[in-house]
Amino acid sequence: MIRLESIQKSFGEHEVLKGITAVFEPGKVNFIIGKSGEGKSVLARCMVGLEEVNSGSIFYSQAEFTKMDRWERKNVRKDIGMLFQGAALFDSMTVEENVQFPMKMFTTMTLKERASKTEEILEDVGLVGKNKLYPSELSGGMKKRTGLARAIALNPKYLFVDEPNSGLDPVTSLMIDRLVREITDRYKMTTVVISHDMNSVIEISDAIFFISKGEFVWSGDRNSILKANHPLLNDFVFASQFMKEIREKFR
Amino acid sequence: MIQVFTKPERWRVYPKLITKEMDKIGLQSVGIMSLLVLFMGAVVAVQTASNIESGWVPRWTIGYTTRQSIILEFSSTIVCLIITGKVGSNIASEIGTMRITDQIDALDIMGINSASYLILPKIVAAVLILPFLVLLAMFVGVFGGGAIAILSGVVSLTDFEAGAQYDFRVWDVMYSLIKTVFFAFIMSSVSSYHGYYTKGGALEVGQSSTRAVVYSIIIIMIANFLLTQLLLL
Repeated sequence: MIRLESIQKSFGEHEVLKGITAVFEPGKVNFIIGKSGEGKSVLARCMVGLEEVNSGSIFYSQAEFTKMDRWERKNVRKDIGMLFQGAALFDSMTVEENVQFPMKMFTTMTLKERASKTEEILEDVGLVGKNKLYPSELSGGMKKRTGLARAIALNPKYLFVDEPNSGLDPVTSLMIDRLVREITDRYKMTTVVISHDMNSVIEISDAIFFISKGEFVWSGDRNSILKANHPLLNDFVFASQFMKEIREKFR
Repeated sequence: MIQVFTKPERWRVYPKLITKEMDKIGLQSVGIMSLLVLFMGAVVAVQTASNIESGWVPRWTIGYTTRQSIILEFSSTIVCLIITGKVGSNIASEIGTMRITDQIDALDIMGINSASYLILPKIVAAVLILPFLVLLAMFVGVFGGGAIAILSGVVSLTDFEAGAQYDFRVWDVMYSLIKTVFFAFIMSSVSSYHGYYTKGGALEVGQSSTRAVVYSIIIIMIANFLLTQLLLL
């Protein structure tokens, strides 16, 4: 479980996050949605410790992450996996080396054990036989799957996924969404997805948090989001003609 | 910089990283360095020859001047400047690209000290390999340069040989190598710093790369003056 209490973050005079409070339940796919520039990515960066909050607390289980020093955080970070928007694969390493990297750095696994675990993970993400390819030889979807494989290499308790579908075609997007769902269920992780893709939200979300101007102004699930009577949320969810038509059908 | 020298996560991965960097920084620069220093040696020999028209100055001075110029200044300073142009920009753009493509954030999230993991091997590798490169430059510069000068008829083998051996002091080589260690540290750390703190996109990576080379060269030249004052006077 991840708990946020009154998270506030400013860059100079500009207040980006204005006292965000939320609980992300384990075993669930939690979506943080909102328009670009509303604070989604900053919140995610604060949650994983890439940015320091100005005030408020972040708890991983019962441990207060915001009060930890670098060395204490290191232990929590071993339980965190993250898939970046651009996958952030290490260019100089092959698919296999990327996946093995966290194992190499944080475990005492032998070469054989690492190879076997890598095969297992690559099978999970549908990349069998792609071990020796470099990131430059991969398609967008394959990069994301490799990023996901690396993120789950140490069986983390918490998975952060930043814009999993950006730059992908609808079929590949759906594949990545389902992969995130499967992995969350299989490893019983607390998954937090940053997205503005409503297809993903409808497809795999368990809990949804809508952020607007640095505040969570609505939270609910995929059933309630289509029926919610919140003007800002409705503007966001039903922005496209396709979603407007869906709303009409619901009515 | 403090972060670079704090305890790394796993020492045993470092020897491999350092070896890889030694190859990139040192071995892959041997060709270009040898070529440049060879002609530098030849130019020094030819210029010295053209400036000693007077019969009062012996011809072996050509060999002596070539050796001293190459050992004291050209091998360390000029070779380090060449390496800075080639490797410094490479270091800055490599780390800068990692920064803008979130690869450094990925390391940080894993709990890896990214500054130490990325920068320390480069600094150690540069400090270890550049003195060998400079030694090679001394050899190529003096003997290669001399060979060209002899073949082109500027000086005879006997004269060049006599000059090259005249009043040879090991301290001159040591002085050059000490300077090289400082220059290697400056080049690798300044370039890494500019890469690590890159913000923005591809354009900014290019700017970081340019800044890395410019700042490294300026600091190397200042350090060169200070070290010369300190070690030779």
